[in-house]
Formats: sequence, C-alpha cells, structure tokens
Amino acid sequence: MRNVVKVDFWNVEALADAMCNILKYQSLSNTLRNKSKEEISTITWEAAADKIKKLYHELTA
Amino acid sequence: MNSLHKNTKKYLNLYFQAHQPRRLGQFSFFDIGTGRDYFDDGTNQLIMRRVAKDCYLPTNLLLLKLIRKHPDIRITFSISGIALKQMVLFAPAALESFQMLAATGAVEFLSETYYHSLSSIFSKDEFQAQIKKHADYVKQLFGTSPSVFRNTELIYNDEIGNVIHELGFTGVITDGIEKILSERSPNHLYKHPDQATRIFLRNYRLSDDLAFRFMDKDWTDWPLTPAKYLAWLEGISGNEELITLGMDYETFGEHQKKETGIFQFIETLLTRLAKHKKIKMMNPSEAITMLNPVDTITVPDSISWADETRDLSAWLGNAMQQDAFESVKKLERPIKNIDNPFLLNTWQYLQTSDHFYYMSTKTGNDGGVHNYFSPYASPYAAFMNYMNVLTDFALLVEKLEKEQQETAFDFPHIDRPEDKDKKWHPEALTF
Repeated sequence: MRNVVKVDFWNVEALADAMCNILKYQSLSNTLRNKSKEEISTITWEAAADKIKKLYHELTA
Repeated sequence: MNSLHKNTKKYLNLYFQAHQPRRLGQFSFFDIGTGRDYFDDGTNQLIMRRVAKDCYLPTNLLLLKLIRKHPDIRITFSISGIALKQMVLFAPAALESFQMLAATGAVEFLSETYYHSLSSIFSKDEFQAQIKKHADYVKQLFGTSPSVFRNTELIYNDEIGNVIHELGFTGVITDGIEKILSERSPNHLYKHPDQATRIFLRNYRLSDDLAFRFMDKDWTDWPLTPAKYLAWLEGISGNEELITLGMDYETFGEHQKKETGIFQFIETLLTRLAKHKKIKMMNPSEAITMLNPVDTITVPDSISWADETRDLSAWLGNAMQQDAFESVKKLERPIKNIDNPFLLNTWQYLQTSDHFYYMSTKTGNDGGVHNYFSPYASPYAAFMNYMNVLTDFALLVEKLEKEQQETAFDFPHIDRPEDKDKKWHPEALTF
C-alpha cells in the first residue's frame, strides 16, 4: 500500500513518532484516511487471483 | 500589432533553469523544542558537488568552448539564489564557470525569487523582497542586473505581471499552455493586458522533447537527433518568429546522464544553430528591443509548468500541502514584527517550493516525476518532517515574539536570540 505511514516493525521510536504525527496533524490523518480508503477498494481477491494467474502464465509460457 | 521584422527569420531563446533546494534533515516529532538543526547541509553539499561535477561544470565548459568558437550563440540562465549560495559554499568551481560564461557577453541571467519560493501567491511584500535579494546577489556574483523575470516553476498570473512591471522588469517568461493561448501559437512575443511587460511563452512540446522524452526509448521519435530537432524548428510556420525553449539545466548530465548522448546532442544542435541562416539565437532582453508583441495574453488564474494540469496543484493539490502552506504563510506577521535576520532567512528557506512538491499524492506520470525529485519515502514522510520543523520554528518565533514584547516594554535594548544561544543554528553563519 502507498497511502500509509511505513516504519520498521522493531523501531519503537519510529512507530511512536508516526503515531504522534498522525494524531497531531489533522490534514495528515484525513488524507491518509481518504486515500487509503480509495486504495483499499482496489485490493480485492479477484485482483490478487489475476496477478497470480498472470504470473503462472508468464512462468509456463 | 505586427512584428517589426517581416522577413522569415526566426529567433530562438534557449533558457536553462538551475536550482537546488536546501533540503531539510530528518526531524521527528520528538525533535520539536530540542533546538536541533533543520537543514541537512551535509547532504546538500554532496548533492551540489555531484550535480556540479555531472552537469554544471561539463555543460558550462562545453558552452564556453562553443561560444568562443561561435560568438552568435546566446544562452539564458535562471539560477535560484539558494542554488547560487550552495555553489558559493560547496562548489566554487561551478560558480566560476558561470562567471566565465557571464563574461562572454553571450549569456543573460534572469530574475527570480532568491528562495525559489511560492511567495508570489501569498505576499506581495515578501515576493518583492525575495526578487530584490536575488537581483542583488546576481549583480554581486555576475556584475549584471536582470531585466526579465521568470517565476518559480513558471508560476504566473496577471497580478504577478503587475508586480513584475512595478519592479521595473520589461518581460516575463511563462508556459505557453493552451488555456491561455486559445488557439494562438506560443511562438510569438506577447504582452500583459494592462502593462508594457512583454510575455515570453515557453514552447513546452519542443522543450519537453529535450527535457523528458530525449531518453525515452518508447517514444516514437526516439532516438532524437540534432537534425530531426532542427527540422522541427525549421518546420514552424513562417510568421511565428520567436521560439522560447526552457528546461532544467540539470537535464544535461543529471536527469539525463552523459551516456544518453545529451552532451553530443546539444553540442551539435548549438553548432548548427549558430551557423543557421534563418534561425538566430537571442536572449530575452534583446528580443524585447527587436520584436513587437503580436497580442495580449490574459492569465486570470495562476498557471505553471508543473504536472499535466500546469497549475498550482503540484504544490497545493492536497490537504497536507495546503495545511503546510497555510502554516508557513501565517508566520509572516510575527516574523516581520520580530525583525531578526536569522529568523527571516530560516522562514524564507522554509518557503522553497520543493518542500511542498515532495508532499504531492499524485500518481501516474506526474507522481513519477514528484517521486524522482523527492528525497522522502512518501509524501506523508515529507509532510511529517516539514511540519515538525515548522512546528519547532513556530514555537521559537512565538517565544522570541513574546520575549521581544516583554523586553521592549521593560528595557530600551532588545536582546537578539543569536546572542543568547548560538548552538541553535550554527549554519546561520554561512547560509
């Protein structure tokens, strides 16, 4: 996903930093909410299946 | 209004924009209030030296060689103040090579805002101050005063044209986009509807053929040869007398590496243009004296050369960008009340358009260009970093404003913040 704040899972400080930023800046949390909602609607089982099918076809062609 | 010259000769202005922002360092939420430096001048130094080595120095030396051989070559430069400052500090040889070009007399320098800022769309006072600062710096470094203006990323509207006229500039360059041309050609000199200010319109198709498509192997016209490009220029209708081509100077050797053949291309093209019987290279101030405007151009809403929409959405297209822009804007009054050169300079560095450009959430082709220039992993990372810096800066401004009010009330002498705590921003001594 693109419309997210990504941090290293083990980096507690980076995680806290991201959380504080999202809480502090409303324009950030609003944009993340709206954009990720749009992006999530494109993530479907059908799309994943198509991707895998395409990969199989490429590998077996 | 008709052109003075009724022959079939065409004039060509080739301008290059050189700019490097002063990038911010990593600044987390937990750095707010700690006094940590805002700018990553180590990285800025590395980037400036790399660009100087790959682009500014080799291209300037090539141009010097060509101008000495063909004195009819004319080149226009627009170099932001912050790029010049970084050359002074980190790449003096690059600056010297620009000075050598200035000494040839074949090169003209354009005016712009010192900080490559968006000040033109929020404060007339600030806009004028940054233009004056840039003009003074150009005069100091190159011994010449610009007479033609080119705003940050070609941002332009009628009001900007009025301000430019007020400052005494005779011309301005903006992008030749369809919505302002309404069926007319960009290949003419135009004028402001109410002022004498001449308007040059960049031919964006021919410019982008070089700046973007030159290395695109999927482009139907790839590979682009000097002969093919020259044929396109020659093919422009006979009554279209002024072609303005503008692009990032970093096109040569930085955006398009030397392996793409871009240096050989420009060398051959300029050599052929210098000898051309029907196309004459010309700098803008000379074009203004030679040509009459064919018509007026009205631009009620801001345009720019950025993204497919060519408006302000590259910097102000989403809620985060608007929030960041509003936040820096509202510091103008307190900053100007405090009257502290260090605070003013820092605030102005935070107005550089690049900071907002990195926060764009556009996708597709536009998104790809934004990502190419951005030092951040995402627009969200860019926004968080910038806003943390700005929040820290706003706290400092608030504190100093309060102190000044109290001190001014109690004592006739006002303490300057730099006297109290020099560790805050040691780079103030240089930048």
